[in-house]
Formats: sequence, C-alpha cells, structure tokens
Amino acid sequence: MPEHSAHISPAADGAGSFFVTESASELDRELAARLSDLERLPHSASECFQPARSIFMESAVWMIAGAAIWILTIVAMR
Amino acid sequence: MSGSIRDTQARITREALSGRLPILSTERIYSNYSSFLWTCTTFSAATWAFLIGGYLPYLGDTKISILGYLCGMILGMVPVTLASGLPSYRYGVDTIDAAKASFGIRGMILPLIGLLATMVGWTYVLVALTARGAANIIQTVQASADPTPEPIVIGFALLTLMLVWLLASKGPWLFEQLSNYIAPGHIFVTIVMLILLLLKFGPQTLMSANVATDKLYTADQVQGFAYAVELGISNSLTWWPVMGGLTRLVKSRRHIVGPSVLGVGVLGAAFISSVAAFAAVTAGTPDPTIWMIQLGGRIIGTAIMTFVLAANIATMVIMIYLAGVSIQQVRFLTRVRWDLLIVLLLIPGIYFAFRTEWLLGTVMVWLTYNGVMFVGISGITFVDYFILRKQRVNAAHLFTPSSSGKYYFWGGFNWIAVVVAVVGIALYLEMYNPVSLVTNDYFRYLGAGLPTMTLSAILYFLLIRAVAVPLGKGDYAWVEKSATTSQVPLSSVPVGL
Repeated sequence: MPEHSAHISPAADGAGSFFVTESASELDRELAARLSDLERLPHSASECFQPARSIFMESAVWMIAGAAIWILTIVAMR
Repeated sequence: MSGSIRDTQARITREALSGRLPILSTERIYSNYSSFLWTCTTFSAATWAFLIGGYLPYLGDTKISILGYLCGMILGMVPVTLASGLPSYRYGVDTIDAAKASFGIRGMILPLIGLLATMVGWTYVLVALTARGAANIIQTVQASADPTPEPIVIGFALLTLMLVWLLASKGPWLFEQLSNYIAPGHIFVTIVMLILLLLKFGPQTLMSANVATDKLYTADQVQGFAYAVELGISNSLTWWPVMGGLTRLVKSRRHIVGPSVLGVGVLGAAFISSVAAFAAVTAGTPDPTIWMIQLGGRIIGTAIMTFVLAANIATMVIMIYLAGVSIQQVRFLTRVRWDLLIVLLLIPGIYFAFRTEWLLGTVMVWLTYNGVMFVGISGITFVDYFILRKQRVNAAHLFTPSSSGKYYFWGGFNWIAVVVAVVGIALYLEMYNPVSLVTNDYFRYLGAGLPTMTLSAILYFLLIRAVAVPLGKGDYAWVEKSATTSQVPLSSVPVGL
C-alpha cells in the first residue's frame, strides 16, 4: 500500500459526523489506491490510454470546417 | 461479494464522482455519444444562448453574424476541449488537478479562481435571469401593465436556489439522466420557434431581416463579422474550466470532441442563438421574454418561456457540481459532506436573490471579461500537455503537496505559467476590448482569441525550454525517460487530497 502524506494524520473527529464524510487518512488511502489503479488493468488497457490520433483527426475536421466558414464568408462579403 | 463490501465500493464511487478522487474508466457515467452530447447541449442551452442571439443582429448583417458566431464557437471549442478535456479524460482528474502539471501544485490557484468565478458567478446570474423571467411570465399571463412585485421575484430566486441545491446534492447521475430529456426538449422548442418564424414571416423576409443601420455597433460588415467570430471564441474560452470536469466522466475517447463541439458549440449555442437572432430582429427587441410571447402568443409563448426557464435549473446544477468538485482543492472541504458543500456555494446566492436587478446590471459587465481569463490558460495547458509532456503526466505528483513533488516548481508556483497567463490577458485586451469594442488593425481578419492563445502557447513553450528545463523544474525530463522506463513507483510518492 502506498504511503500517505506526512502532513496527514488520521482524523478521529471526522468519520460519520454531520459535517464531514470521511477521515482524511481514509480519503488519502483511497486516493493512493486509485492512483495506483490508473497504471494497472483495466484502466491502463482502457481507451483512456489509447493514442489520441483519432481525436486529433476529428479535431482537425472541425477546425477545417470552422476555418472554411470564416474564409468563405469573408470572400463572399467582398 | 458481500453486501458490506458492495456498499463500501458504491460509497467510494460516490465519493470519487462528487470529489477529486481520480475516476477510473469502469466508473464513468457517460458510456455513449448521445448521453454526453445531451449534457453538453443542456449545459450550453441556457437563457444566455437567447440573450446572445438577441445581441447578434446588432453586430451587422444578421445572417453573417450568425455564421460568424457559429464559426467562432467551433474554432474556440476544439482547442479548449483538447486543452482542458484530454488530460482529465486520461487520468480521471478534475480540470484544476490536471492544471497543476503546468501551473504548479499551488499555482493552480489562478485557474481555480477563474473557474469559481465562472461557475458560481454565472449560476447567480442565471438565478436572477430565471427569477425575473418567471416574473415576466406572470405579468404576461395576468395581462398586467404593472411589473410583478419584487417580493415575488425574490421568492422565485430563492425557490430556484433551493431546487439547484436539491438536484446538485444528488451528484452527477441525476443531471446525466435529466439531460437526456432537457436537451432534446430544448432543440424541439427551438425548432418550434423557427417554424413559427417561418410561418409568420416567410423564409425570404426572415433571411433579409436586419436591425436599422443607426442601431448597429459597426457599419463595416467585415468588422461586424469579426465581432461575431470573437463572441463565439470568447464564449468557448469560458468552457475551459468546464470541459475537464465533464470529460473525466466519459468512457470512450470517441465521445470527447464531437459531443463537445456539436453539443456546446453548434446545438446549444449557435443553433439556439441563430433562431433567437431572427426572432429578436423581427420583434424589434433582444429581450427573449418579450419576443417569445410575441412569437408564440400568450399560451404557446408562455409555455416555451416556462420550459426555457425550467431548463436553466439543469445548467445551474451542472455548474454547481463542477464548482463543488473544484473547491475541494481547499483541503478542509474535501471532507465536508457533498450536500453541505453545495449549501456553502449557494449561500451567497441568497444575498443576490434580493438584488437580481443590480446583479444583472453590474455583474454582467464584469462577466463580459470572463472568456479573457482563460485565453492564456488555454494556450498554456494545451502546449504543456500535448507538446512539452507528450500527453504523459505523473498523476501521483498532482496530489503531492510537498516540495518533493515533481510539480512543485518554485514554492509550488510555476511562475512562467502565471506570468504568461497574465500577459495573455493583457495581449487580448490590447487586440480587443469586449466592452468598448475597441480593436487593433489585425482584429478584423484574425480576431483576438486565437492569436492570443497561440502567442501565449509559443511564449510559454520557449520560456519552459529556456528556464524550467535547464533548472530541472516541472519534471519535463521525465517525459523523455518515461517512454522507455516504467513510471516512478507510487510507493515512493507521498500523496494527499
């Protein structure tokens, strides 16, 4: 299990009270576990970590469409 | 799996979705194109879309202004979605946590202030617009010449705040569900208004309808078009604090750019604003509460107006959700119960509920500068993530608040990013002042937003290469190493929210 911040001390005041949900140490433990999970399956094999080439292609198409509207409108106004 | 373990996992997922914990791909709530498209549309299609539409004819030829606004929304939304949305999508973290890689672990205060000003500021403005719009409906239904008494406006504002709290307390699931009905409803209502316009005026009259020349902001058509493009780009820039908070909830990368540009830019903004522009110019007033009733008559017009005002609630809920997640950068607030956190964000709204007219008169001027705040930030976060870091961030170090963290820079601040963000604002205002409409010579062909974003990105890139990399600040060297070696072992990294 990953270490937690040296500044964090488990809060005896928090868990289950009206104002707060979790103790600080509980949230930090969960954070460390999740950060670790980001590097592991299934997240590491998910689309989140796939190459972004298709996103760039789609973005380029939108940018070309926007630029075309801009240029054609200015040309049409002349 | 035992019931208690399932309960614990469900609670932790709830905590992640309404907090800053990274959201893993298996937990994300937007699993198809349409659900994210409708949320983006719902968010964008609030009363402001009708107000902006009413303003477009005053920029010049109505048709050309509509095209300019559409063009600006598309050209603005693409870089903003990439800069804000992609890091959050990959690592499941909030926009502000992702921005720590470029602004530093403490320097994120600058984008955080911008985010809170945008989300909370616009929520209060929308509360005021909804309350005053509801009062106008009552006046219309009663066919009264006197305005609705102020206590009723205040009552509507308080009721709106209460509804926002009730819905936002449920977390993002509810607005994901609601959006599937509200956004198609919004598009349907807009199509009904377009049909009513076509039936009443005919396509030819509609297409040639313009504001009288003496009422235009400029008689120069090219300049008017440039104003419209810039209005779209400036509106898009205000989405920088939003997109990351939403894309961390999306499952597939195919559902990032399309729904964002189409939902926020085309359907939620340009389409609705174009119908509003035609309606406003034919009615002779930009006020949607007047032209909607004129167009649809007392019954249909009132029904449309009621739907549009009710739909504002969904937009406010999404904004307060995003503000609620981001404000947990304040350490104590990470442990405050979600529903109480929402109360804390909405409490100042009670004050504004009693001063809706003042709010709309004063704060709207300030919010005109809203997009300017994010012009440099968008350029910086884009070049930092895509060019300098090659889309690789050490996620654990985004949560390492001590000097051992890789994104600690100088005392927690990347001063290069802070300075470039401020320079970006100054540069933008030098090219274009959105209140006085004073522009420089290049504005009519280039606008101000895209050149400023590009120049900020280039300046940031050069300064990081010249200063931060040689000094070993910001862990830019790790990007090169991480292509061949594994990540820094988590066990060596102290993390905390």
